[in-house]
Amino acid sequence: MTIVKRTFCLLIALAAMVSLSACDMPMSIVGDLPEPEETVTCFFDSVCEGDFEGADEYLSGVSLSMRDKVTGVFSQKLYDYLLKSYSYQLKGPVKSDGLDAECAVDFTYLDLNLLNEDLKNLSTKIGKSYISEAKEGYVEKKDDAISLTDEGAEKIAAEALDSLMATPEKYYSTKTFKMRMKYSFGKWLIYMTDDLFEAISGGFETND
Amino acid sequence: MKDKLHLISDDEADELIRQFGQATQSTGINDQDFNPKDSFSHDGHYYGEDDRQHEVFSTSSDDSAAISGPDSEAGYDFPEQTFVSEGGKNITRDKNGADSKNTISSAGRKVGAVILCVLLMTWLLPSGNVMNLQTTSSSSKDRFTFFQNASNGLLSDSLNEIHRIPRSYVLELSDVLTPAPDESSFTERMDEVRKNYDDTPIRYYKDDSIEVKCWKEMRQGAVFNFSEVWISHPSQLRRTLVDNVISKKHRDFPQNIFGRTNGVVGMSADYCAFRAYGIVIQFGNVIRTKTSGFMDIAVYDKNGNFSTLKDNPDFFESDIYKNGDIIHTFAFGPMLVDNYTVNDSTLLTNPRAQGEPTRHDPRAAICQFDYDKHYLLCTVDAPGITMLDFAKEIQTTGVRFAYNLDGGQTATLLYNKEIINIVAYGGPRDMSDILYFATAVPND
Repeated sequence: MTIVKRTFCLLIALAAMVSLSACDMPMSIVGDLPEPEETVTCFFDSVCEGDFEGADEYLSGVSLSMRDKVTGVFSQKLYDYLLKSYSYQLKGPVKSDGLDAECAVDFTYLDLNLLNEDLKNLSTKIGKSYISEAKEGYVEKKDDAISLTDEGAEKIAAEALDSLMATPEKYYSTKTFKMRMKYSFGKWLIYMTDDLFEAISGGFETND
Repeated sequence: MKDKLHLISDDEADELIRQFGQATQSTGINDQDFNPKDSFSHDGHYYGEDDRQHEVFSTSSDDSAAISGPDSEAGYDFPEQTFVSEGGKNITRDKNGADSKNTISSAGRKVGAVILCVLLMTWLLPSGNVMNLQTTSSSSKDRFTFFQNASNGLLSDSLNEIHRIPRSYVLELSDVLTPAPDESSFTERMDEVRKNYDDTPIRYYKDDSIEVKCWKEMRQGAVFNFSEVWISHPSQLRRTLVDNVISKKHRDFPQNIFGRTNGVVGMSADYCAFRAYGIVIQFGNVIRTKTSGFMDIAVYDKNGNFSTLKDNPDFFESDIYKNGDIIHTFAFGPMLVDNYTVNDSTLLTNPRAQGEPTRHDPRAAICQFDYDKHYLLCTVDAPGITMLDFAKEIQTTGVRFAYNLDGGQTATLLYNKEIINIVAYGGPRDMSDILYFATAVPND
């Protein structure tokens, strides 16, 4: 057989192998395997604990892990408040046919959209007060005038945030998310949706 | 993998025939049976016994004996020959007639194909990518970037508002003369909130550091003259003594005293030189320490807030004094409104108390709204009003604090270098001191 033919046969065999591997061939089930409900609860337990690497174990094709640490006084505070806000509740039983599963979950989080207006107003109020007091560490005097420094302005925003977070429930949102899962390679994996991803990240509507 | 020979020259054909002839001789092929030259075509083919066209140097098994030449034992070796192929390429053929270059490229392509297949298998199968049936757009999102952008957006919105807060200009307490106001900013206009009782336009001034509204109301049969003032920094409330001393010999008319300042709006103060007692502090400097024991002393602190302390030695034990927080004091009183409510002190109702509280007299008061840098100056023209009624009327304006100053002929309201109220007894009297609000915007 010529090399050409051999190569052709090799390609045919390869194609066959690829096709077979793409098929949903039932695999034999050995031992105790997690139910989809357990996957959902473990996922949200991890999220609520701030263990996003652990949460990634239950996700298909996406990661919630942060590639860098949050920087900035204000951002760090905001992130901490966001993590503290998480809670969830399963709504009803999980429906499953052995390969696909779905369920509904109520997820509560700090909604940055609700926070925005009050934060602006309180920051402005504090800023005006500090200017009139010429508060040290926040203002600078230039040309017979007192104005806020950039560092001072960010500290003010952080103080305003702390003040608002004394009653955080006002800024929490609870939404129902439909969780879809697929059984793959011996475990259930959750498909992350855009709206859940954004809720976990605070739901702030950016111009992105 | 053979290229057809095409359009070789006659010389080249002869050479081919020569070589071919040598080959045929050694293999014993009869010339009579085969004349390559006759049968040689310009496209590099020859016609064999079977009348079929064959290529020169064909490597087919049928032609190998006739064409490919003698075996090695015959001693003839076809040299390597290079020809121009139909495609314009140079083709080199070895002694077996095989296309040597084609052999190398053919093998390379096969090896490349195998490597490609292996790589494809390696990528497809183990990673399970083929099994990843659905990915959402969030798979391309990074949570760090998303959150940081959200946080920056939130912070940016707040900072934009904060940075819109205008700069606060500051006056040094030691400045003798403050910046001159902008003459073009003294205007008159109709205001939605403050209205003259005769529906005439109110007086108005505004710049980046101060805003003033002056209007008149009729209350209890007397004209109340109001000046509402907003300042950006506490240093803008100034107090001035004639010649900077407390002395009955050092007095002047209020419009003259005011004219020597650059004040926007002002008023007669406590006429402190008229009496020998009452704690007086001006720009943080203690001018007089002798106490009356009974007066309410109005205290103006570094935050721009008014409060009262008793005019007695305990004043100097107070935290506000010890901390050096006092800018000015005024020694007349009593306090009219405290914490938004009328003062129930007998100082407002005792006929023998300072200021003749039970008479209908012209009155003067300095007031503050909340703990803002927002103040109210008020004078009442003749025939005047009792002190208690004055306090009640002042309380209706919503001020947190109101303090009675010297009334009668002393009560004078000043704006843009002139007196704007009707002073009792035909005209102003000379006095030792006034208070005024100045702009802090530096002059160019």
